[in-house]
Parts: sequence; structure tokens; C-alpha cells
Amino acid sequence: MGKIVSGFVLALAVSIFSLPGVSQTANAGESKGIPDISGVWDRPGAGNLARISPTGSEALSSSGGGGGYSNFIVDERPSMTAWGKERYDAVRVGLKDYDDQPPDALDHERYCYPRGPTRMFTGGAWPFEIRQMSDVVFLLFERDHWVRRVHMDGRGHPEGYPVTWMGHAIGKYEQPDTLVVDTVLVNDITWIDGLGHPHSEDAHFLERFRRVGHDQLEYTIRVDDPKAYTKPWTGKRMFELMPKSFEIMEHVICEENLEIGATRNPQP
Amino acid sequence: MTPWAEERYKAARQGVMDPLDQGREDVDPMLYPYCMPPGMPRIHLRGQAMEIIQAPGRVYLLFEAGPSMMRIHTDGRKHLNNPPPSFMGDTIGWWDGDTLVTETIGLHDWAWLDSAGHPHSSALRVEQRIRRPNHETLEIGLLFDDPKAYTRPWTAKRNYRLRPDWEVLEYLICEDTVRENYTQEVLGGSEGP
Repeated sequence: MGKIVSGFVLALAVSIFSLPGVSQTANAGESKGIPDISGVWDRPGAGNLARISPTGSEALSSSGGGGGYSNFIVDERPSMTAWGKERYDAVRVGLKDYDDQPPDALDHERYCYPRGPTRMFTGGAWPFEIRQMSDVVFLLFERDHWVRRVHMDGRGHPEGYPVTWMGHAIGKYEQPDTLVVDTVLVNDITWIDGLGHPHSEDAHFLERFRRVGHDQLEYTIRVDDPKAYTKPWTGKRMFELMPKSFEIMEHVICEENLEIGATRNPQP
Repeated sequence: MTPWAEERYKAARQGVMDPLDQGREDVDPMLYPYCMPPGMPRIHLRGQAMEIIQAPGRVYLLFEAGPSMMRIHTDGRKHLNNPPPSFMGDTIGWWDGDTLVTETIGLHDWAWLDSAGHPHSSALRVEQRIRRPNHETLEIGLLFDDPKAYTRPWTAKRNYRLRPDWEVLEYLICEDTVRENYTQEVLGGSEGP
């Protein structure tokens, strides 16, 4: 067995740290050039979980409404290559309708893998938080407490960057109201959405976060992946701004396995 | 430790001879097959990078290990009433001069406080005092107050070093083992990442 770790100096990669009273957060909405999309956003119509307000005296939830559960709203269904269709069909055995969800046994998430950067925006009431800094925008997800870092400092995608679950993201603002995020190098085990739409490691995702009203965020995704799709396709979802009292809770994927005495890898 | 804690500590270290060794790997909630997050305060022992974001009314500690995140509410709010137990707890904070003071409650009682297997109860309250004595150093003082597990509060300290050129990468607990199982069971062993 190894030794107990004690007394060593840990490396700290500090994005921003300052003395009190000196804020280094981006002046979103306070100066020109930075659309304000910060806040906690949730999905109408997905059956939100009850939230506990800080006083414990009220339950908070987002409003009801329509909207797809696992899928993005698309004008035209994705047209897949043979490679893409083979992987799509493999996880949709026995399903009839486009909107049907793949069975758990074929879902990598049941094996406690992350959803991936775009599927995070589908399925169920899983809010996310956007925090805008001067050189990076953070997307902080309730689901399994994942973080996506969007680099805003003008860098490109670096040569030799590894393939990861959330990919490498760079971004820029488009006036007057949109954050554009460019993501590559996403692990091809993940799905684009909750329907099982696949992608290759060469997929290029372009996401647009546009504040169409004070309380409304329009999320648009464009998928460009010639290995999996015959042409690029786009999808959309709407999100609603949650009040300041709305708390993002902790979610740990597969935690229930431990609580019921099972292990992290359930049998299919 | 109290008798309650002693019993749990012994169970976590049954068969471990060297007092400097970790607790038993087969019952460590962080290790395979459980692969749970380290949680608070064990996250500070992981030896991986931490990133701090300061936003209006909140401070975020983003840990590469896990990954894990701590939200520290600095807008004057109180703790949630009876927060549901979690790995990182419910944390509020305030400034005391150049020090960010935080208080965390609402922690799972089956997570370990450290890799030795020191237990804590759900009544644990962790206080952090985070200060920057010089440009490159972050000092975190920790106070553990858990009357069910410890006869008196006790303290610890962790120092971090600034790495301005580092980028926090992705680290998924138990990824290698989970991948092997997924590859075998779903992909039939013929393909894998």
C-alpha cells in the first residue's frame, strides 16, 4: 500500500485569484463587447427537481412547458454516413420512434462515463451555470459536477491536445448577444444527444449561446463530422434563467450504486 | 477520536500494519469498484491542480481530481436548512481581511476524511481559511469540528503553489477500469477508446 500523502506542496493552476474587493470577473453586461449570459439556466418542461431555497421554506422549480426530452429540436433529421448509422443503430436496438431513448444497457452513461459536452444540454432537469471571466467562460453543470472551460483569449486548438470527455473549447463573442463556442477532440464514446447520435473524434461542434430575452437562452449546436454525417446539421434547445435563490445541487454519477451496496459497474 | 469513530477507523485499517499506510483499498470509497469523489476535505490531499474563480456572490474551487467542484456562497446567505448530504457539502464564505473564510456542512458520513481512513459523521463542520501570503503561495488552514467523531476540534494545513502556465486537464476517477469493463461488456472487446 502507498504512503499517506502529507505535507507536500500541491500545484495550483490559478485562473483568477485576487485580494478581496478587487474583482477580476469579466464585466459582462457592464462594458461593451461582452454579452451577459451569466447565471443558472434550466430547461423548461423537463420535470424539474424540487429545490430548497436558502431559507428552507420554499420549493423552487422551473416552469413547465414543452420541448423534447433527449433530443435537440431539428428542422431536418441528421443524415448519417454508413459508419454513423452503424453506431446509431447499435444503441437503438428495438426502438421504433425517433424520440425513443436507447436502452440503459447500451448507454455508456450507465457505466458511469460522462455524457460529453453537448449531451449535457439534453435529457431531464439538469441545470447548468455560466460564469464569464476575462479570459475563460466556465460552463458548470449540475450533472456529475462537470466543468467545461471555454478559452476566450484568442488561442486556437493546440497541436497534440489529447482527446477528452469534454473536448477542447475556444470561444468568442458575437455582438450583441451571443457566445460562440468551438469544440473539438471529444471522446467518440459519448453521444451528441440523448438519442444516441454518434460522432467521431474528428467532430467539430459549434455552439451558440444567445440571450434572446432577459430570462431566455437559446442554445444552438452545429455538428460538422464528415465521418459520421453526410452534411453538417443543427439543433436547438431553449433554457430559462433561474432566480438567484435557485441552487445547483451536487450530483455524482452512479452514487446510488454505492448506497445500495453495489459497485460502480452495473451489469447490463 | 470518540468510540464511534475509533470503531470505524479500525474497520478501515483492519490488517494495515504500518501506521503511515493508507486505509484498506477494498473499502476505500474513492477506489475501484466504488470510484466515488474524494469529497471535502479529502480533495485537498489529491495532489492535483485546483483552480479558483471569483464571481459576484460566489467563489468556485475547481479541482482536477474527480473532477470536483466547491461552490462557496459569499453573498451573505446562510446554510440550507438540513442540506442533503453530499461529497463537497454546502459551503458559505466571507472575507476576513486578506483571508477567505469558509464553512462547510452537509457532508456524507461514509466518505473518508483522508486516505488513512479517518472517519467523520454527517455533523462534521469544516472551516477553511484561505490566504495568499505571497504571490506564488496559497495557504489553506483547515479546522475539523465533529463532536460525534472527535473529542475536540483539530486543525490541518495545506499549501498550494501557483502555476500560471498550467492548464487544468480532465481526470476521471477509475476511468481505466471503467473503460475496460465497458469495452468488454458493450463493445464486445473489439473496439475501445
